[in-house]
Amino acid sequence: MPLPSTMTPIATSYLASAASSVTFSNIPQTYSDLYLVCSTKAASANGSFLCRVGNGSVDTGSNYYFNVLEATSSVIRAAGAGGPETFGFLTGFWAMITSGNDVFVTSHFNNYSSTSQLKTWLSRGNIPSQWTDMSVSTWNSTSAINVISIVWNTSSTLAAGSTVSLYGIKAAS
Amino acid sequence: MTVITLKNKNYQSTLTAPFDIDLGGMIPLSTTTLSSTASTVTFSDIPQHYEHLHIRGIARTDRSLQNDILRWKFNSDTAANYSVHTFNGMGSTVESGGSTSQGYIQSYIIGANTATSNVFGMFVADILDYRNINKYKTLRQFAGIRDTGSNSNGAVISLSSGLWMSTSAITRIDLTSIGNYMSGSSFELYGIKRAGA
Repeated sequence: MPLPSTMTPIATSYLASAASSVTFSNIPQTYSDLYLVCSTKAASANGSFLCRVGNGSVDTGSNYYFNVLEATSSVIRAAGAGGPETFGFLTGFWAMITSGNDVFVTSHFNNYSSTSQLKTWLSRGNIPSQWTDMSVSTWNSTSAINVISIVWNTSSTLAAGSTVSLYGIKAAS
Repeated sequence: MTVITLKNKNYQSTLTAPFDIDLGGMIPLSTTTLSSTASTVTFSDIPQHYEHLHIRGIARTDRSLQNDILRWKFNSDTAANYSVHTFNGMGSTVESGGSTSQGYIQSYIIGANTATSNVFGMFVADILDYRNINKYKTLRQFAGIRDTGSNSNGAVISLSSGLWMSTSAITRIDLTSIGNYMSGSSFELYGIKRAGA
């Protein structure tokens, strides 16, 4: 039986029509890390691009902390010490993402299936016409992550044609 | 006009013989997950048939701080052959820094022992062309820690770029910190293959 590849595509969501969120559920617990790749576009009203996780269901409580570092064409800034918030972060802390702009985000979730550590993820965001940013988010729970939901914080939607992919990364045993 | 034909343009698989196994391009080489404290994590006898190395992990040290540093050394070289630059967001503060002629690449950022229990920092790092004997070696690292609460020392996101001024192929990586890595810290090494390999 062939060995599985190290970076394995778990699921890809391709939006044939605009959607308010994308959720991956029942994430296998057989990998060491997860890698999330989002290629999307804001279809409607402006917003920030956020992430919630959970075990069994998405945690919408005030259980998230994050910090972000951003560079635009005119400013470099950081923020985020505070919280807790009801969401973790992907991209877009200060200015809202302009409707119609492309949004590219990649996120690493190391040790997502651990039951002894709080869950942290690192994200890199690129909105080519607005900013580039990076962030760290923590979910204040030792539960394993088996659901990830990507949402906007306003009534924005992900445009038709958006692609969101989740990969599992296996470590050497 | 020079036309370059890709040797493996229609490359489908590494299979060259019956029962060969195609492992893909990213190969897990070694994982170290600590069950007790350790001052150093070492990857030794690194195979020399990959193109790049990828290292990722989570870590927390036993020092009385909220965050801590990683120190990278290659091939047991402790001479002043390393330099680093960092770009960080700590709370609402943007920072940058750099050092040259160091005995290690010191990069940010992992967790330490005054952070909330069970909070670990995490990092992903790449060493491109690790076995090229015509180049110095470059490390690129993305890391962060976000503790619960509002202390900015526990809210750090960081990019680091390190240089080892040696043309030797990397056969060993030592990861140390000023303190000790705590139980639960995990370090994973991967080899990245080139096309056709």
